[in-house]
Amino acid sequence: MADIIRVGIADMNTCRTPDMITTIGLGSCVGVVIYDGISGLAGLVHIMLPDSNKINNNANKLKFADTGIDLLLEKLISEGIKEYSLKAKIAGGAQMFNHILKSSIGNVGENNVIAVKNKLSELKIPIISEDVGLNFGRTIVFNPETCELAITRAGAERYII
Amino acid sequence: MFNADSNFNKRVIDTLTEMGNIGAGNAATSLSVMLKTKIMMSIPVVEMCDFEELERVVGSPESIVVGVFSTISEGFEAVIAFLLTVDDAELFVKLALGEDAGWNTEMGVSAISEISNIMIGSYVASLETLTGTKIRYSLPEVCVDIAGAILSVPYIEYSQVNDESLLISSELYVGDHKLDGHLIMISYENSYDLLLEKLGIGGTNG
Repeated sequence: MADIIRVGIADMNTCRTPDMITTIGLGSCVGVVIYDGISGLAGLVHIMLPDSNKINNNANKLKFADTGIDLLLEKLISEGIKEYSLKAKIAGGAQMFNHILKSSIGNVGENNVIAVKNKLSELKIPIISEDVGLNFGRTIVFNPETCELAITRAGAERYII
Repeated sequence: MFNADSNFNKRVIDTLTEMGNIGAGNAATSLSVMLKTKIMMSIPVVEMCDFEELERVVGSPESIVVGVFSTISEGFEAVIAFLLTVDDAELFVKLALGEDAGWNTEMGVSAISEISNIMIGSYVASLETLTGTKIRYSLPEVCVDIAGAILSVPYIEYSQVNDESLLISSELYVGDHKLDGHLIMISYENSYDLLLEKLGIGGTNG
């Protein structure tokens, strides 16, 4: 029986075929999937904020793009992912409100996407596909067997990237 | 819900509960007058909660909610939100417009926005009267989406201070019918220190 492994906010996990991995309700957060397309192993981290250096409350490294992706990669390497074939798919980074809470942290969604892209580029992991920005929440499910990332959002058909 | 190492004490929780009770009571009264229907709100629950608990306030994190959000920026910092299920939203639109206009229309969204504005306004006004502090809040904004996605916005804001949010949450009754919707205030642990001091409670460190 295939399971769907759930990843919470500021959290990560890995899965192997036939299991799939999901995170629910990405708003301005970004879901980063790293996989190799060979071993059937994949990992997902649910990033909340762009930069751990700008926040005092930074004990949970999985919250941040700069540190969370490193931790996911470490875990995947320890579980035997093929490092020469790393790929990524990303989704999220929406701006849920136009006015609310914009003053103090700006557009968190956009900043999260930029930070995630910078980090993946630094690690030389290509982004195969992405569904980011705009103003709606997303629930994502990654299937390591097909390498498809399925996206569900309010009031729309499920689609694959 | 409160950790043993937290500075929160029973007096603070009791005071916040009473503040929320007065705010919710006034909001319910204004709404009753506007809609000519008996609206009641429960005595609020005050708790520190992590995101898993926060996103379940209106049921499943995957459920679609109609949320009206306003930011309080002066007096204390919080997000005040009126969260409704789609069914609740439909009911309020019917009460406000006296017809099946549908919540998901321009008229429907406008009615929900106005209902929320009145509720949030009277909630805040009663806190101002109670504490003698000027409280400023933003014009409410409507967002219809997955509960987890919209509740992550205030959580992210306040997670920069604490990993847990301070939640003051009241349930709503229309007539005898209990809604799944809630009127909630989300903030961080020390956000109410100024108001508590005004009430002679001495803040969360007192």
